[in-house]
Amino acid sequence: MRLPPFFSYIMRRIAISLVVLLGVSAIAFFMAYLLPSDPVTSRYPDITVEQREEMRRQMGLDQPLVVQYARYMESVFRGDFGQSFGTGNSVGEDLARRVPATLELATFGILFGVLVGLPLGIVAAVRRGRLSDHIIRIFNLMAQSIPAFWLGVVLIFFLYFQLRLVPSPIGRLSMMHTAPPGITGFFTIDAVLTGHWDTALAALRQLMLPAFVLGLGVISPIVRITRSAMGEALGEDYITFGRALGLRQRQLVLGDAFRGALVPIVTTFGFIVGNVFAGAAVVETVFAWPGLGRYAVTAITTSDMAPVSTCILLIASSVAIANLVVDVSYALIDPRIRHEYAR
Amino acid sequence: MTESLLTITDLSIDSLRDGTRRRIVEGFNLSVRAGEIYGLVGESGSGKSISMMASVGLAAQGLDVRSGTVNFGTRRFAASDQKSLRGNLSHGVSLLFQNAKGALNPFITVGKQVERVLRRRRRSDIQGELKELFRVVGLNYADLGRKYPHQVSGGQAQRVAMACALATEPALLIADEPTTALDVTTEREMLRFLASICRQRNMAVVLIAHNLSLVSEYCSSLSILHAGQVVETGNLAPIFAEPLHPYTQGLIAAVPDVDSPRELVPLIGSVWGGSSELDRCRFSHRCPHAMPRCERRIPPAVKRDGREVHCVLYEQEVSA
Amino acid sequence: MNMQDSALLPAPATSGAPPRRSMWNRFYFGLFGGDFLGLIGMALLAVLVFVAAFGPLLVTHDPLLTTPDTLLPPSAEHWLGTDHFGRDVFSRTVTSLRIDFIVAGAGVSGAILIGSIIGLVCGYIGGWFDDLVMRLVDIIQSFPLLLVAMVLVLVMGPSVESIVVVTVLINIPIYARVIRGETLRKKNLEYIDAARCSGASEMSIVFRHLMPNTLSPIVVHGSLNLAAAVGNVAVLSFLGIGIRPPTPDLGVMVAEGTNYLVQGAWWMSICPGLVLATTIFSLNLMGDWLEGRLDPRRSAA
Repeated sequence: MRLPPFFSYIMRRIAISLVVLLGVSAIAFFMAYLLPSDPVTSRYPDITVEQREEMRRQMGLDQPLVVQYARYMESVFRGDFGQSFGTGNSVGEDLARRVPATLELATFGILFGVLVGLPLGIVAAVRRGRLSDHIIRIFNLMAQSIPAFWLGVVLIFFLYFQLRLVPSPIGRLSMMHTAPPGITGFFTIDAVLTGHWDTALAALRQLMLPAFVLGLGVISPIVRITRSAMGEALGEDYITFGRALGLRQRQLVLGDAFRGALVPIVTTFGFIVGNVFAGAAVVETVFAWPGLGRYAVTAITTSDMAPVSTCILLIASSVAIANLVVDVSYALIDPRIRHEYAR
Repeated sequence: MTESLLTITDLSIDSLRDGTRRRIVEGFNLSVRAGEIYGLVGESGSGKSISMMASVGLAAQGLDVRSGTVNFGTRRFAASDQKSLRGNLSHGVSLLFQNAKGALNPFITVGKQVERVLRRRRRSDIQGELKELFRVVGLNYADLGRKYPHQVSGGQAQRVAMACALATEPALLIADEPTTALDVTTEREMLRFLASICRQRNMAVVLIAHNLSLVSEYCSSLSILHAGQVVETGNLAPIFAEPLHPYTQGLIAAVPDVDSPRELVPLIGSVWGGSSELDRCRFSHRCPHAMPRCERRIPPAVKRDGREVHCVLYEQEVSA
Repeated sequence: MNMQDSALLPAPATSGAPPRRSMWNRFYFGLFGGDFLGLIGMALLAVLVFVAAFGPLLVTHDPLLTTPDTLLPPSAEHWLGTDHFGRDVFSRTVTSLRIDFIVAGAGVSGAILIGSIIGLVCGYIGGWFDDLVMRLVDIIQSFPLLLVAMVLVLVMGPSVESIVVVTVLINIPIYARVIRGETLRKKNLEYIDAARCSGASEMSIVFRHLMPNTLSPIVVHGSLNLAAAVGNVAVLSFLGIGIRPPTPDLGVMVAEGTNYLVQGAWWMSICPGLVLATTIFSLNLMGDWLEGRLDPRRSAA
């Protein structure tokens, strides 16, 4: 691979993402601004009208919206995301504790979804029109149709209240365990790294149900796209030619056809990341998971301006970064795209 | 007649789409001798490729191979058992496609593609054999081996595909319109090359084409297919000298001849204009000699001057 | 061969008639293409729509009436039990279904209307206007739409109307994008050129010739989108930002029920949720079936 032209493509792609993010930040700020609350009154509920006006002037809230946005962006670039009156902390501090929780949940959820979704999609494509294809289709439509919040409630009712198979749904660790020393921020991994095996197991048991519910929402788009992309790839002449040459079916399906289907499959990654954050808001609420999603929901319902704009900005940035990774990975997957860039 | 390498008998194929069954190939027969070039001619959609693919176990999804047997060498297979056909014939039969670029995996260098086919048969000196194969098909491995399919020309891609096919050391090569996607000059070159390889390796070729005049330059025997029915089959010379079936006559009348210019007569109508649900001659709707009898059953084969013709016109003479 | 005399004539007009089929077979294969799931989806949906439409006639109790009979399990009197205010869960579920159908249906219809017009105009005009609108759509779609919906509902004040408006807003990009793509594909086809050559005005080309052809993607996306919209309305109310109590809503009912699981009152959450899941499932089945019927790319495969 000739690196320099490819590198310049990546730079160009990053520049585009930054422009999009600038637009996103403006909208995120504006949306938080629209929230029916006044940051001064909500922080200092018992002040006089004069004091309030004075505070507003000090905080720059009397300035035009554009100026406020510019100041907001300036502080964002300094790493200052403002204060949350709900928790009393700076938003940066709050997020530092909550983002790893969501990342751990999302990683396990996506991993589960991909590990189940990819094989199902491949089987459905290979056995198109057969019984297994129909069964996968029914399963998939069901996975897509069951509301995550309800599934969470049902699972908690049966597996916890009735059967006591899972620990109480109260966040990342039960009361009996203390959080392992922070290395990656993932309780399961940190506990393993530091040798706290029982803590690792306890964290995993807490994680199981929410990750399952979150991951179930990931399965459906993956199965859909894998089935159609694999179906298309399996119909390509090079697969028939490979079969005519006597190459093994396993090699042709999992090697040749899968590689051909990989670009559309990877394309859904950005969409999935967005979906998972939305799903996390629901799943974290049901399972009392102390993450970004629940933080955002609480902030929105209490009209907590700074966390709201920061959460929206953060999630939109994650989606943008996911899409960037997707675009770059195209070149790694497909030599035709790689050479297109090099030109 | 020397013994035949591939014999297909009474192959019938149905298509199952939208819950309806359509008969697309009816009683297809073919017999190819070792080392010969056999022409299979018909318009687009006449079932040439479908028949050949099904007879080597590569019938597409949605097709139902209803009947037929395939003899390859000394072995005999039921055409409906596509799995065993595929398993057993992948060593003896290779394919070439119309769209050579599409037949090559776009994600692997052309050198690797030939190499992995080679690895299925050989254990030693793969690199040497690889370079030799590239030389045989007229390509330079050092130049092209590391290129991806999208970086080579259509003619080069067809030669790479040929190298892949030759790597399996086939006794029979089914070339499915291998030159249609190439331009006219490359087309001749490719066919001459195919013919010479065929001679050198004593490899039989089934050359599927819609261009009758092109096929006639290279093959020794010929089958003409119309709407899934064989209309005339046999040695090339008598068929060309005196075409019996009205369709063959029409096809030859539509071929321009530089030596004796005459008015070209186009064939009217389309391949599938007539119904294929019933046992009947499927050419009758385009046939100048059509008569009520044509609609009543599939015309039986009539042997005459080293060929078979499927038309009621000649049946009359025999029975009379 | 057993053929009638008429078929002996050279013109085989009748000889191609397919084998006779029963009425049921013709209906099943003609409409459903042998797709059993499509049939199930339609049947389920028909029942649910019937229940929603005639809800007020079907309820056994006043869905808002609080009684001292709290947290009663399902019985002959209360088919799905009662909630913490002694309200009849069955009656509340039926009433919610009606509200959720109306909200999601109105939201999706609005999004189809506005999104299609935007998509048609963008696809037909092209140029900088198209670029601008499509970049805007990109930006909107990169947002966490659930959170955006929550914020917008709060800004407009939580009410049924604002949920409808928000559903319209967040779904517009889907249709703008799909219809634009479809318009781009169709606008250079021969029959549009033919219409233009025969002197049709731009307006008539867009609305009489292009628009009818965008119908099948709208129908497919519409039904799948309706499923998603029903889910999203319920999610919003579950999170406490949608339809507010005491107005019955499936999401609200599940949320309220979670507090009484510990007392074993499973019917409060599980029954309305099951109805919600069935509704979404039937809409998805229908969308899947329509996709198979109307998308030539898929049915050809």
